[in-house]
Amino acid sequence: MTTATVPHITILGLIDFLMDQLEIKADRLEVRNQLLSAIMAGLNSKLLDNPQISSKMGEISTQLSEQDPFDKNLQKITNHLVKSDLSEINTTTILLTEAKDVLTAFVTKTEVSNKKELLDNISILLS
Amino acid sequence: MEINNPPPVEQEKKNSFLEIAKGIATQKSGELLDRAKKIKPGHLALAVALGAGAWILGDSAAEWSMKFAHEGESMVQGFANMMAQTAEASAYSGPDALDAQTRYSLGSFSYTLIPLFVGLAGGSIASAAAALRPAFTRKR
Repeated sequence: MTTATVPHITILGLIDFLMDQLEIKADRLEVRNQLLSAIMAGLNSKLLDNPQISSKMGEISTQLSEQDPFDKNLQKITNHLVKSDLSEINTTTILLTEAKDVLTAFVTKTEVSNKKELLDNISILLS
Repeated sequence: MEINNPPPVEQEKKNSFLEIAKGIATQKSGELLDRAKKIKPGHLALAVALGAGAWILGDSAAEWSMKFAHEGESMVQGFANMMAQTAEASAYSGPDALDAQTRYSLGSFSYTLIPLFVGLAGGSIASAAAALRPAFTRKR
């Protein structure tokens, strides 16, 4: 197995790739969802530490109204995020770091013969 | 019988991949909730934390937030594509002509990074929405 076997590197793709390598047959969707949840929780956790993001959340929350239907509030959140300049926040690095952390923990806790190889691939692909 | 080379089903049973994944998700969710408690109260920040927790803790909540995550993803995916195309178009036709390598880099950059930002936005929306939905739907 080499990195060349993963032509399009996305986190979702990498999870599927790892599940293939680990020969996971059952509960694939649930395993994927749990890993994504872990990554998202880790990402949000880091973002909550970021003053810019905390401030942005505060701004958005003031624009929401419980009198409005859910869809309208959702539209407000979306509009705000679309207009937001997140370029100064290195979200990509945070996301990749979290993905690496979660997937490394996942593979480390499994008992498979090619563990080292899988960990090396995760390290290379998500660095 | 080859004891040292168990078939995939036995290996899977031994590893219990889902339980391992759940353990990691629960741990990360716990860390998130701890962090959320330390910041000054803001209901969206709290909602994000609760949304991630709800994602994990309940079948129905998990099902709903996954459904919403997909909807949110497709909703903002259009924006991502538009941004990527705009960036590429600008690279080709902007006032300062860019060389081929720069155009290629810019195009690759757009297509690689924008989905990540979109994933971030979609995930945050989904998490927040999962927690906020009961409050808003009660008002309907």
